Amino acid sequence: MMKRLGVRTALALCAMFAVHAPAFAQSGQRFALLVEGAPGDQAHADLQRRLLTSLKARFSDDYKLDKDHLIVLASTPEGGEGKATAIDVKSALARFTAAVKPLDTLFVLLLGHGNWDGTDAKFNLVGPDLTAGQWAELLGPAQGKVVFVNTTPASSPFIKALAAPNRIVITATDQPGQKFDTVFADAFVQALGAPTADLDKDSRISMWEAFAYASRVVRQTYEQKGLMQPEHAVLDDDGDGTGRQATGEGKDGTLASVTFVDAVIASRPADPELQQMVQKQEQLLLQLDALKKRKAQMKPEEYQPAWEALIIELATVSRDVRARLKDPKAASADPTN
Amino acid sequence: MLMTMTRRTFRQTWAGAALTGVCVLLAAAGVLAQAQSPAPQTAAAPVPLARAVRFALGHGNADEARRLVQQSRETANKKAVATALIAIYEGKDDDARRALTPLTVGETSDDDALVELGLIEIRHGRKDEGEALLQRVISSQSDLDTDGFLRLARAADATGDVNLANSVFQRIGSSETDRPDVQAQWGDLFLKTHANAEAARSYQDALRADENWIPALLGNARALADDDPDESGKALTKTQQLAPKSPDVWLLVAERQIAAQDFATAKATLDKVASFRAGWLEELALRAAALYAVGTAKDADPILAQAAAINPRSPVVARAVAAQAAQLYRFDDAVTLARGAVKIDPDEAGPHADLGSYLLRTGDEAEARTELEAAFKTDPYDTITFNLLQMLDTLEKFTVVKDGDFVFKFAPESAAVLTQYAVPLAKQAYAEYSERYGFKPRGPIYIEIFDNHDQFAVRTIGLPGIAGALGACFGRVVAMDSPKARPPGDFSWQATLWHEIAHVFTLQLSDYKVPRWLTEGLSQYEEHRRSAPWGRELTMQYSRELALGSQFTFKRLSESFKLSSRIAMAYFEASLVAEQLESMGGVTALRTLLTSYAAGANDTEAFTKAFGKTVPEIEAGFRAFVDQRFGSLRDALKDPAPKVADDDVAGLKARAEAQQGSYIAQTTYAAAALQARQADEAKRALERAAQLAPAAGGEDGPFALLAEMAAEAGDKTTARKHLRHLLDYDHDNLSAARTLATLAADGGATAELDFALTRIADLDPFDADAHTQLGRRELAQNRTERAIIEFASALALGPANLAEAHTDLGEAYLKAGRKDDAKKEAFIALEQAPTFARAQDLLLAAIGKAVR
Repeated sequence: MMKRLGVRTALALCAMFAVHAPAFAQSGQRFALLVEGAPGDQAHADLQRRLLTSLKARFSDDYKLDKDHLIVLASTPEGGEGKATAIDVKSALARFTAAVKPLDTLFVLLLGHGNWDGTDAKFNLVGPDLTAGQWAELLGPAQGKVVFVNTTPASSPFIKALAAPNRIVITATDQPGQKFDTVFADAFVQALGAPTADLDKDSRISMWEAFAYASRVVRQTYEQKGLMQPEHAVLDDDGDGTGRQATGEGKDGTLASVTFVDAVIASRPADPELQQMVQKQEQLLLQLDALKKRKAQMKPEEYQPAWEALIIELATVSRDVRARLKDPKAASADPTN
Repeated sequence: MLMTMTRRTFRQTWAGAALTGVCVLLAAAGVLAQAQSPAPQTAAAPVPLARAVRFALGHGNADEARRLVQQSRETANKKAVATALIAIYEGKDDDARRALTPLTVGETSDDDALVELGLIEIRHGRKDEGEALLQRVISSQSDLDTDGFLRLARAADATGDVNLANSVFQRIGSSETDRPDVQAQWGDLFLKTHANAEAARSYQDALRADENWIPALLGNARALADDDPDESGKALTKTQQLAPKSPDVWLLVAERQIAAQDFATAKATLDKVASFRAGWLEELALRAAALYAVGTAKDADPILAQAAAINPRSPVVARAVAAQAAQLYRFDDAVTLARGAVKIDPDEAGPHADLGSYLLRTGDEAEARTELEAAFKTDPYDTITFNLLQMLDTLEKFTVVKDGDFVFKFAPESAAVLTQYAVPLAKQAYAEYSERYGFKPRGPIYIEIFDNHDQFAVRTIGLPGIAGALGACFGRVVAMDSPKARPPGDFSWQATLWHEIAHVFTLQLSDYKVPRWLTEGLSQYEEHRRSAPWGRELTMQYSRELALGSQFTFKRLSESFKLSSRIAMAYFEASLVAEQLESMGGVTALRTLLTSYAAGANDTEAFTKAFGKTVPEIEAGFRAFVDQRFGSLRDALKDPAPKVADDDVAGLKARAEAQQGSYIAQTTYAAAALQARQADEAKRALERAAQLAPAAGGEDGPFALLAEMAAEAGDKTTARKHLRHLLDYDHDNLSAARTLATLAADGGATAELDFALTRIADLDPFDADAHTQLGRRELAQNRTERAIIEFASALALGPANLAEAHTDLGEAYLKAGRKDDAKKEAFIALEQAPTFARAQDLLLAAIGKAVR
């Protein structure tokens, strides 16, 4: 679709010299396990395959994960994929958790069905299933950050079971009894590539942005059909095992806001003039950040002009950077600067 | 929560009352010792004369009652009471009073006499005297049998203590299952306290005891009037057969005749009532209502004076005239008359409740609240009053937008978007109708748009529900569902608004005397004039009815508006009549028609004046118009012969080939071919069906199916063509519009994209994405003002991406030359997303630092 192609172009162009203000944004290596569980029938198999293919392309082509860092398990595996069985899941996680170091990030994304028997929530695999508790055990050894997204029905118990420090857990439902097919899976996959999901327009989609966007798509889908919304996705990232909805109250969201699937590209331009411009961009962003922190202590009539001056300057420099990127021979577009 | 007084809640209400205050009252009355069931009476026990007479009267047989008195060997006092009962039944209260008064003096007074005389005194405005007599019954009861309890209940009810009355009925009702009088009077108490379902249950209990018990049949007819009109009608018919001399029966018959606006027959029926029972306020009330309906408020004055002479403290007649005025949509009259009723008895809840509800329909919500609160203080059981007060609480939080002759009220969450859409549309309607109908209606015109359908229903009828209704107009007040009140794509709220504002004009121009079918027909026709598919949604169904032999007459059309099963088709047919009328004489004739009604003309006079033709001539002309307009579709929708089983693909194919002009033959074959996975065959048949019935809409219609098949085959151009056609008729098919938008966006078909996006935003103005997309399309075509509206709407709805939405709006402002606004939006966007390139460029352009 045109929309998706447009996104890729935009991401590629802007990410080159986008300045990612938060210094605590993730660095290190990225690992991902994508699991498409037992579909039940052909219609679900088709849908799940479509989503898995899209996700796989997103992680390998757009996010450029190393081949060795991406494991795809499917109900009906295609080239390079493994079988979505408990054994294969255990093996994949054993490999990844051993490899994931403190600054690394491991993404686990589940597509398919789940169920809740009153005691345990399970993700349905081909053959024996794994309970939320078993997934937690399997992830236990990982030293780095874990992003775990369960898009299935009855997924909410995974929040409590998997919650831990430095871990983001997202589930499609907030009630274990919600056993109907979810819209969230499709919505979350869309979110990872939707330019609109990029709330701060930094050309990257954080886990929080993807979660918020997907939650919105879910709500709209039900609203447009005139149906009650049975599924409400929740996110936990402070490790307390209590998730929050995107539009609800809650302490969660900070870690997810600075967690991205794509990598920071830290390369510097060779063009010295462009280098200066980019440095200026970075400085201005830091100044903006500092100003924001002082906002509470400042009078509005002091803060606002200072903020406006910085934002105008940043806009000007950024425009020049863009112009320079388009035409490396171009001088500053605005001679007044 | 709105109050729907269900059987359960009502029983609970009563149960609560019984547990709290009523037992105490009973104890004070010295009857707690009677808490057990009343003394059983053996079959052999002689029936007291008063009860026997009441039973005869309960069968509408006054002659039998008289015979019983004549043959009775009871005491003279008992016979005097019995005679008085017959006199009361026949409206001879003076005779009854003379007979009863001596029996109420001294310590050996007769309890029946006390109750009956007490009720007579109250009926004649001597409330204090009446209540004093009834209090004696209430306070001195002991050793009560069933009749004694019944007297106690009646006395309590008449003195306003409905809780005590109900408590008594609770005690005797369950044991006295063979006493229709007990059950029916309990039903009357429920009916009086607005618990119709409970009332109906009690009346049915009474009818189980005696299937011919007239008060129960009449009560049932009243209780079921709204919920089960057929059963209600049957009950009334039965009473006419069983008790042709009962004034109560004919009173209800007259009431129904007035409701049906058959005032001449009602007058004759009321004469019959008077012949059986003269000088009864209820009869005078209906008479006054009928006189008002065919004349003016002054015509009812003599009857009001007559009623005042009988009972100066009874508002019954004034209320009936006011109700009639309201029934005829003359709400200003209704308010004036209801004020009169309140003046007559300021302590009674009913007149305050009436006045409150009429004031609401004139738009005076502040005074309406005062009156409704006054009513609720006295009568907390009135569901409608309770609901209206709740609704007013909601309405107070609404956002008010005043614009010209309009006062709009929107739910706060919807106000920002609906203001952008509803206000211009209403103003457009006003301008259009002012010109067409040649006058400006009296304002202000209140437009209240509810996000909750039940709130709209309460605003309209005081109760939640009214399935199928989308809007209502009371002359100056319009209430309607907002697009949020129903699932998206369920209806076009714009068509509804257009329709209701037409009523403002036709009602006022005719001084509210236009027949219902005509005002609805004109409103529906005005919809169609505004947008071809509006108001013509039932084209297929109507043509099918024609194919089945339906024949038009004005009489049938008018009657169809009273039948829930026919009403949708009645609207459609009435709109065709309106179209035909305009084609006959132009809008001038329509104006003449309406002003003739205002001048008091009847149908024949009004039509002759407007069109120079008689009603039968117009009927004949209409049938010709329908033949010409719908003849071919009607023929295509005739049942094909022979009948073929749904799974006989070969048979269906042969029939479809043989009858290529039959829509049904084509679609039935297409369905079978699809089932048999013969897509090409199905497609051919669907294409033929589509040609035969261009108006065929719906998800299963030929256009929708052809579009789906084309899309699946990858032929998106054809899919778009079919969807575009489908939406020309099936205008509120939101899902088709969304599909078309997606296909058009993918295919770069901008005209179709614009059409689809506009349709989506019209039908579902709360779709933020549609506003954003539409705004971008408007901006691309330099329609900056439209773009600003769309982007502002998207922002009001909470867009997916705030930075993008503010930038969109800022860019539109910039294009419109509003640089300061553009800058403001850019700043907001950059506050969200400081590195957002589009917002940065917008800011630089807005402050004059754009790239040279």
